[in-house]
Amino acid sequence: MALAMDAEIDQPAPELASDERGKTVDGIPGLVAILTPSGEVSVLNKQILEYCGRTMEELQQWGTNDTLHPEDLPRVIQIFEQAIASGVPYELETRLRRFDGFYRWFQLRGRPVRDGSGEIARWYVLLTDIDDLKRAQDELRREEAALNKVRSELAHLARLTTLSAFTASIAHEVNQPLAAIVTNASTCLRMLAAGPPNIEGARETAKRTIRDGQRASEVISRLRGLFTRKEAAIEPVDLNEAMREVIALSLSELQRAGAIVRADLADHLPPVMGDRIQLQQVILNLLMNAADAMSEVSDRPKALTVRSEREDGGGVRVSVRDTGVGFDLQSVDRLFEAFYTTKNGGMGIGLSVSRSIIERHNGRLWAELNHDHGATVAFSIPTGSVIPKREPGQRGESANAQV
Amino acid sequence: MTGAHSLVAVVDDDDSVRESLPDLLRELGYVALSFSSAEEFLASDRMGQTNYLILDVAMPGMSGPDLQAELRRRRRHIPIIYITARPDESLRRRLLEDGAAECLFKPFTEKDLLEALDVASEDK
Repeated sequence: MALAMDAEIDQPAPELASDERGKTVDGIPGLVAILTPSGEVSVLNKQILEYCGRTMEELQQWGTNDTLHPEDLPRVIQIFEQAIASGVPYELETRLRRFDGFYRWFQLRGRPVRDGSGEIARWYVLLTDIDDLKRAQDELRREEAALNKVRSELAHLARLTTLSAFTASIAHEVNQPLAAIVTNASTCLRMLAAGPPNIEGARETAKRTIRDGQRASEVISRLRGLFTRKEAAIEPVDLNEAMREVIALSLSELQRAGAIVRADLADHLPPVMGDRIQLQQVILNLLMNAADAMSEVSDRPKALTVRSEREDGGGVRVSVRDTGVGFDLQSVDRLFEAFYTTKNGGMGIGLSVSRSIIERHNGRLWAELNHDHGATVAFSIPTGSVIPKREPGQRGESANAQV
Repeated sequence: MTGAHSLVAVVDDDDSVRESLPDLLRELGYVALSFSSAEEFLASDRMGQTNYLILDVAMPGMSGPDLQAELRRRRRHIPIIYITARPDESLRRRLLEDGAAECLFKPFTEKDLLEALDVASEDK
């Protein structure tokens, strides 16, 4: 039986195309090919011949003519030869030349059929026109690329606004110890110039000068951490530590806005996996938003409470609560849209960028109104969650299994 | 030296400024006291004897200008030298227009300080 079938398959293809099997495949509403075990084209149904507008002989030479798009051909041949040699089903996408010379994308799925003894008797190949789908996917990919571009531009803008918000704070943080250094040095000189010189006083003053110098240099090293690294780096992040740094750097700015800052940080907070700088930018953004929301408040304390806590489900939650003007419940969803702002001087990129950063950490960010005054904006990040390394703004797993 | 033995009150929330500035003022011949907030200064019984106020602009709670307004409300005139870590010229202009003797940007030199105290001594 096997021999008979092989003999039949090995017959010249044109004769087979007109036999019973050829008629059967012609009846299938789709493009179908039957190949010999060695991969020679033995049957092509009418739909294929009509689509391509070519003869059987021409199509049998698909590997050496322009039936397939020249750009696809090497890849297709490689997959095809591998499948034929190994007898494993294959699936690939390629552009196929239509009768009018126009190429459309097809999905080709080949499956071997085995005889009673387990030998491959022939291959069935189904060709599915996926051109429209492919175009839609390409369009989607283009849109996504454009969206990613906007996202990364927004992230860059957020970095710049973060930087400018910090600049005032930085000047303050550095000038403070510098003032003490200059003053101490003057005092020291005067003590040494006195008659008799006040050596002990001068020594104490010099010691303070060193300490204040170290304080200034700590400010600078914190800044270096915040602004020199461009690439996202995933590492265990102690959110308490990250929050303390941001609060230290922005405190003078917040106090200038009249905010009374209180930090209520949970003990033994488990680390989260993430990009420390990005998370600090989110925290800074929430702090600045909270201070801004309270800028017009005059009838109550401008209390800004920063809190960290463990979540029951094994996550960490950070919240920033203010006693500001709050937000309109109707527009709560719009808060997270890019370029939506409730502030006159604001650019409205903060919360939308913040949310996308938190979502890349598999977390969520939300805002709610307080019962008395103001709003609380919080985010939570699962602990032990591993984030795939990728550029900010890129989407996750690709949906199409390209060959 | 116009102000020797005068009482100078330093009001600043920054520890290292509060630690360093009174020492230098003492070396310059002044009597110096320090306060960590405007509220603390207002509550002090030395307020009445204070000849010069060296006042930080931004502080938690009452700011420097808040203290100035409060002193004005109490009809108590003390010449004020503002000190600020925020080098903002428009802020400086505003403070001078509003009656401050001087406004120094941190870090300032001993010479800056002496000149400011000189200006302040004419503001009694």
